[in-house]
Amino acid sequence: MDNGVENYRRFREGDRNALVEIIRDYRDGMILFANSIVKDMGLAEEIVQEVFIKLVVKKPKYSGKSSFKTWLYSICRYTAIDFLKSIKKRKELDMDAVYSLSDETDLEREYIKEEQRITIHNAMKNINNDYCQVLYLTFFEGFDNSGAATIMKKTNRQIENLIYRAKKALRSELEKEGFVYEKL
Amino acid sequence: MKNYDDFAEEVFREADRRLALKRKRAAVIRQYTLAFASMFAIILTGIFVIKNETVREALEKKFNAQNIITDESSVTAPPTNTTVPDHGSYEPEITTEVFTSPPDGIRNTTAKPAASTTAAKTTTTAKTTASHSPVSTTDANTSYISVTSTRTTARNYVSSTKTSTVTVSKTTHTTATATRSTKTTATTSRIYVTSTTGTRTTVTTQNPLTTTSGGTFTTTIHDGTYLTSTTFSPSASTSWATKTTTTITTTSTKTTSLVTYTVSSTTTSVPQTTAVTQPLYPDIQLPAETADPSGNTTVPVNYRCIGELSADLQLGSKAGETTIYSGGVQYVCDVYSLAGSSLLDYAVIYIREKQEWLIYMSFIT
Repeated sequence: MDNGVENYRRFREGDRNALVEIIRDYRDGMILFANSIVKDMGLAEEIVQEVFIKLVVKKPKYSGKSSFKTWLYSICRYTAIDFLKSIKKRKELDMDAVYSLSDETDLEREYIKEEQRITIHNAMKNINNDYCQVLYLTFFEGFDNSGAATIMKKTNRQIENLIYRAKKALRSELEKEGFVYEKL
Repeated sequence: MKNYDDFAEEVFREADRRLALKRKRAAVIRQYTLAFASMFAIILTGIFVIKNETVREALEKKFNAQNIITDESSVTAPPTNTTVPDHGSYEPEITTEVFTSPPDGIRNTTAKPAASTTAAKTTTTAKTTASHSPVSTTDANTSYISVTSTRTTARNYVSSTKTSTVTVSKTTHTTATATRSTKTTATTSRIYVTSTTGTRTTVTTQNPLTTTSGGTFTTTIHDGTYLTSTTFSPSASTSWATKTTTTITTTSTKTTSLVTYTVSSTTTSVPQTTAVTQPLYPDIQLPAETADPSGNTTVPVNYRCIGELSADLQLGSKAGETTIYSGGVQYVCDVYSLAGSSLLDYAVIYIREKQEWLIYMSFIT
């Protein structure tokens, strides 16, 4: 992941292939993350695409205060929230949600790979949105509490409480489906 | 799910589209901004110039606008219902200038030749003709003498033909004498037309017919109804300048015929240097209004002639010139008999132009 900073520097200097590499490294995770927010795989892909379009058009400066991935996921979250606001205004959702289910399954299998983790990811769809985001960031993307706090614009304490409640809600949800995960 | 390359390609395509749109929008905004900025600058400059007292003073000094009213309180409203005072009517001053002599450049058309002008070379030819001019003379007491005069200067200064007809009422009219004088000759040339009773008419030139002003001089005597032939002696081509008498012989079937004779004479001479503008003979007709009331040959016999003179002629009688008529008016001229001749008692009508007598006619009674 350290290549992200270097690639983004190269991209700002005019090398578009560097952005292609960034897309290869971060696109799938960002889509799943956006999906945890908008609960729509097609819209999540559109959100991630919009994130990269913003990078190309505006070429925002990366300050280095956080990791590149954290900075990139923060942009993705803001973009997803903006999409949700615009969708609420339109009060309609894209009918592509039907096909997005299969896409989501494929992406989960390709990106998450482990069956157990896939089960957990599926169970996350039924819990609170914030729980879903913080669990995805910490459990699937490997962010620590500080990174998740940065992305979700919350304090570490808030993230800790949020993670605690999210795990509790996820355990309850898994028990409904007959799964018992002691690690949770 | 799109693969990475398609995803990246779509990202770049959309990004390029937005960048192009952004650049276009920026260009438009830049143009509008520039236009508004220019307009705003002009407005600000105008306001600044108007407000700036220093500039205003400079403008006043430059254009000498000393009378700019800055204190509006001192401005009074213009008067209303202003009436224009009546200055009365103005009569233009008319000055009349009387010219005592023709202005420069205008030829004096009334200039006369010298009184005693002598031609440098005079060639005079006379042509005398007599022709019948039948007149229905139902009135036995009426005869006609028609005098036609033509004079033409060589340089065509004047070309005029004047005819004078004198009607003489005389039952025993046997002789008519026409005496003529040219305007420009020093000596009066007279042609006496003597009609003898019956068959003979003699035309006599009392003096050699001379003219110093050149031109053609034609005298015509018409004979009467009863004349059948006319001969001339001398011939028509004989110069009258050297002849004193020209005899015209006519043959008449009646001894008491009332005849009119035509005597034509042609006079040519070299032109004078002085132009003659007046006609040689006036246009005068002297029809007899009334015949001699007595109807006899008693002397004196009064005749009354009525005619009209041309504008520049006057008519008078030789006897004391007691009757002078201005030209252009109808005249009534009493013809008096003149005593002194046992053979020829005649009255003479004088026609004159201004102070110079032009012609007179004698009526043999």
